[in-house]
Amino acid sequence: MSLDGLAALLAAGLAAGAPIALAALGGLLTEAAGALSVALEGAMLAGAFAAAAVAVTTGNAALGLAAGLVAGALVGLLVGYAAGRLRADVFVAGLAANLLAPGAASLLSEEFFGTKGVIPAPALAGAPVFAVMALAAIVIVAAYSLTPFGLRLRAVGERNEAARAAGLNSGAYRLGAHLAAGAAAGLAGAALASKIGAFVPGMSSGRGWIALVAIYLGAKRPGGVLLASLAFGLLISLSNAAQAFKDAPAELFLGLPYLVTALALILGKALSARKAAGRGGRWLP
Amino acid sequence: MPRNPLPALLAALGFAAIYAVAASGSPAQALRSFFVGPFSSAYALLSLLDAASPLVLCALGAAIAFKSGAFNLGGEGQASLGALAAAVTLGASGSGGFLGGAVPPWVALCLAFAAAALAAALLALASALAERWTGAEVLLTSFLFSQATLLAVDWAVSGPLRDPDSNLLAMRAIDTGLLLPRLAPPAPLSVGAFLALAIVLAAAYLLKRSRHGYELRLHGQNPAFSRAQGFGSSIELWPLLLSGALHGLAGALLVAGTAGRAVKGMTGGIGWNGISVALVAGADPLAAIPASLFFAWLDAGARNSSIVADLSPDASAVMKAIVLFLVTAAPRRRRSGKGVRA
Repeated sequence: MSLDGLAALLAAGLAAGAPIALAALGGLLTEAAGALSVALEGAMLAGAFAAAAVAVTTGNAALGLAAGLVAGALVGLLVGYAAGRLRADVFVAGLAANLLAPGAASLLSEEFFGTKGVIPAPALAGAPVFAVMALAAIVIVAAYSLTPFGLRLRAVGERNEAARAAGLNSGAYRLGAHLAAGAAAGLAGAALASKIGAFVPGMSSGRGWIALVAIYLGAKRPGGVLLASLAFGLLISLSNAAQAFKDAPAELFLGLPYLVTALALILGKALSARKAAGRGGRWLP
Repeated sequence: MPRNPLPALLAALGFAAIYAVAASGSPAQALRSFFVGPFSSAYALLSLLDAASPLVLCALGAAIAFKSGAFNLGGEGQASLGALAAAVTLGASGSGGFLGGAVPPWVALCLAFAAAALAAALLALASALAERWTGAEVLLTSFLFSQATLLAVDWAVSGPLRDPDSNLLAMRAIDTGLLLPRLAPPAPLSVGAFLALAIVLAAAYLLKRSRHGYELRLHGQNPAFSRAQGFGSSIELWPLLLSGALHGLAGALLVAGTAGRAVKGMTGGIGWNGISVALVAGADPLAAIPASLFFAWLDAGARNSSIVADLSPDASAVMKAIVLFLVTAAPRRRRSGKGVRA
């Protein structure tokens, strides 16, 4: 492969990894608060749909991106409310959000656009999404590592009793983390829609799940999470590039990132000295 | 800790009613087609029972994993792998297949169900072994393996194994003589429904009464205590194996009972629905029967109201999401002030 080709591949990997990284950093906030949200996938899809819907209605890319962010935050709010005030299991509520997003998108799409399929939104294409995502990522990392908010968030996650005794409203911190995670994933979804200038049903195609794995593989630290996300981005762009060859079985290449993610997770666990603490803490019926 | 699923179910039905009234040009017809439609004819009712049969097997698979303390998120892929294995086995046993009528139909069916259960069980075992050896969570790996499998099965069904004479993205139709006998053709309900029912009843009995069932529940409630009691570590493996096998059987039921062939994307979320049903049922095998009928009713109602009236069939996805949001909820009756633990 020529040097130009390598540079192009790296650039494509960076572009594919950025939405994963942003969603994963958002998810990291919920993990730090002790209530990991698995709703990133749903928030991403909701963001993509809202961005395309608003951009096509208003013709304004910035409004579209903002709508994606808000839609994702709404998904986060739902999960945070269910897990907080209603004391539902946060994992199951996240699954529910992942089920709700595609269903609601299809319902609204049919109602307002008369189609259950692709919604072209040319106004969204060409928006400087990479810069916006980078900015959002910087804000999240800074808030997490440098501000009292980030410290308190981690306190809530690590020692909820101590945080409460220190006068922190841990419920509010968790809700805030879910809101931020949803917003980040929603913006990432809006970026996906902007990249192809359209909403396609199911277009998040597992990136929200891969972002969750990136949190684990990145050892729950911002730097590690970023690195893991970019590795996945590279993987996705590699399988996209391989897909371009004649007669390439598209589904097999689409499945590859999942398989490699699973193997990376298993390998990462095998290499790290500490074993999982077990399945304790999960709500089970 | 069983929780009351009734508010969740009522909320979903409430959404259906509001949606029908708000979005339909003829609300009365939409409401009737949604709520009553699935029971309005023998054919509709038998279709509902047919849809619930593989679903209850998935729910049982999810419930057994729950009871043992694991979360099997890979049911969807396991079901689709089972469907593929069953379709390949039945295809090979049919006319033109390489077993070409050499085996009697009932042997072919038994082989198909065994192949489906085995293939799906092995897929689930991969996750169980990974957790045992490295600590990689079953929760994550089962989902990731399942997604990869799902896409690979889609590829196989619509690619190398596709029926070249058909416009469908599907494998060749299986000889009717090799399918599960239907009870009242043309309705899709087959003897598979009795098979599903028998498996659920047997599982309910074994889980409550047998030593293995006790061991499984004990491990789920307190792994450390179960180890201290001298129960072996195989308990970390076989519930997931069983969970996978049940999802595989559900896939086989879809092929040999309902569809008569393997079609691309045929599992259609049955693995995810199985998790929801298991949660609604509080992981109780017997309660999974009415719960899966309820979910099949939601699907049938939404589909019916999209045909008869002007609603979207995706309303059922939203309703299932509402159920899932609320089914584990346990709101405090009265909040006793900020920051005070109940």
